[in-house]
Amino acid sequence: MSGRGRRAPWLLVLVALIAFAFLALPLVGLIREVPWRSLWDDLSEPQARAALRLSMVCSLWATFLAVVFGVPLAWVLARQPFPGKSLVRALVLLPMVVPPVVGGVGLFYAFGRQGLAGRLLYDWFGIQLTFSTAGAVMAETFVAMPFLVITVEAALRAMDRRYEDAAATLGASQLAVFRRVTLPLIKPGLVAGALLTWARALGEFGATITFAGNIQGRTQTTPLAVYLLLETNPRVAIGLSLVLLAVCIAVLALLRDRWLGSAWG
Amino acid sequence: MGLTAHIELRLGSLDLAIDLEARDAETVAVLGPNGAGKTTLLRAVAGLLPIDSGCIRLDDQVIDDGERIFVPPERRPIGVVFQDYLLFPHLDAIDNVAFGLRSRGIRRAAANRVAAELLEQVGLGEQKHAKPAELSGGQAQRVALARALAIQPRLLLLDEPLAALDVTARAAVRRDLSRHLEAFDGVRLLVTHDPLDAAALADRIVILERGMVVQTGSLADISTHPRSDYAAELVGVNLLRGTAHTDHVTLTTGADIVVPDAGTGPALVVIHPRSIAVHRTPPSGSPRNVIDGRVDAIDRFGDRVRVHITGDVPLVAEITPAALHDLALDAGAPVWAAIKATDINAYPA
Repeated sequence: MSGRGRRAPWLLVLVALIAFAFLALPLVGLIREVPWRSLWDDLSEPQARAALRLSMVCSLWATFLAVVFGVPLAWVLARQPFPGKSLVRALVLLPMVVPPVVGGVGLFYAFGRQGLAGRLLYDWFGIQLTFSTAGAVMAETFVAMPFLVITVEAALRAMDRRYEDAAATLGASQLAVFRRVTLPLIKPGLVAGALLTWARALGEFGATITFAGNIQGRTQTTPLAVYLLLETNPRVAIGLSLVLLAVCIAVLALLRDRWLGSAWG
Repeated sequence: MGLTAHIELRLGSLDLAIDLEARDAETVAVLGPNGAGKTTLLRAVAGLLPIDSGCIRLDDQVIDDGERIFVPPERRPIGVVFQDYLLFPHLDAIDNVAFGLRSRGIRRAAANRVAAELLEQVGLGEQKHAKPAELSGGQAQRVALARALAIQPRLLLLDEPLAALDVTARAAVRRDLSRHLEAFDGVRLLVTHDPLDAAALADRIVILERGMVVQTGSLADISTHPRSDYAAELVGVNLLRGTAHTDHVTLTTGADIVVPDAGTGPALVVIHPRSIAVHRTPPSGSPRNVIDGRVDAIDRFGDRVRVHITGDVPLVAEITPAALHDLALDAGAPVWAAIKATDINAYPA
């Protein structure tokens, strides 16, 4: 599209512009509606504050759990040969494409009070996950962990494994190699994965509302609050939407500048 | 005391079957073309690749017998200097050198003291806190050497220790490395594809081709009695094969070469390129061997010219640029190569 040299075919450019407008217009629509002047007061409204606080707590917990459990899972997928591995990987990544509400139904029948594991949890320990903050954390972890696994697995595959060999010849046990060499070398991928996971957890709606319910201050995270408030108090709903949008843009910018450049080329 | 290895190992299309011995305070260079199995051999000795069968013994200890015994790499008293050095990029020089000691449970302060001393020894006391990315190739190699030596290994393995360096740095680093190797009193086993490195660093050379040891000896042995085309090419001589009949060898191509004394039976014939005189007309006089052929190609290396001759006896002759000028040689020109019998070395294959 520069002045000289070959020009792009106008038909392709036209369709591309339509596609771009389609993606960009909702953002413009949202931002146009933001009540800038009352924004701070709207976000300080009790329901909004409770939702934001809960979202922060749940998404950070979900990210933490995804890292703690997802990194070993990614390591096994990247390093250990075993039969049925592609099936396992497909199952691990399924939550990325399955409708979150379906994930929520699944969680309900697995960890709900009458569920497969949930019944044992309740009978033995008196733990009930449905309608609890822990349930909201679980729903977010379920939906977001695949982002961490897929990113960390890619980083593990891309790294030069000869560094692990070098560490082994220097006397490091396999666990020490993982901790002192592998983890530091995949750090960019790990950070990128954790950020993506966090952003996904923050926006989680379907699985949360299905499994954990919609209890203000306990399971009503920001996306749930937005959905409800849009009927009763749209100004607050728009303000909360802006917060979620701003966080996502910040995450994308961070990934681009700091980590996407090196980890994903 | 030292390393005794009988290794059988199949990896992809490579079929490794090697017998290798190296004594204390001896530097053995494994020399071979790409894909000969050099790195695979090192990985097997280091414990990064279990052998299929055979036995690797270091001093009195069997470290791999292909069956029940397999000592994992972290428990072998072996230091490795890897190709490209593989310094941990997230650690500075001193932490790289201290890595092995820390892995063995030595406290940070003590490990760092030893590491600092080792860096001092290899002349990098100033670069203690430099990250690998800030080091030159030669400095990185010395850090890698210090790192491998820090664990006080019984055996030091070096994989192409000079291949990552550019030509200008190589000679100096090679001299340096030679000095540091001398100071290490365990077994030194290095792998290289460069005969210059092998000549400068090794007491003994093992030539590896297609997974097998084809020849072992000093560089002088190999220069005078190469046993394969690869070995002959390494030392820059012509190698011909044939059957000896006391005073001449009948080559596989049918041509006869007159030699001083070759005994009888299958024989190898070595002719140094400088012993070959090139003529444009059939020479008369004393040379006992006159071979006709055509110029195939001409390579110039500074003050030497190598003339590749095709014919019944393919040869490479080395002449001076002045001779090249006088002879007015071109590719395709008919030539006669004259070689005195006394300049030819024939020995049983």
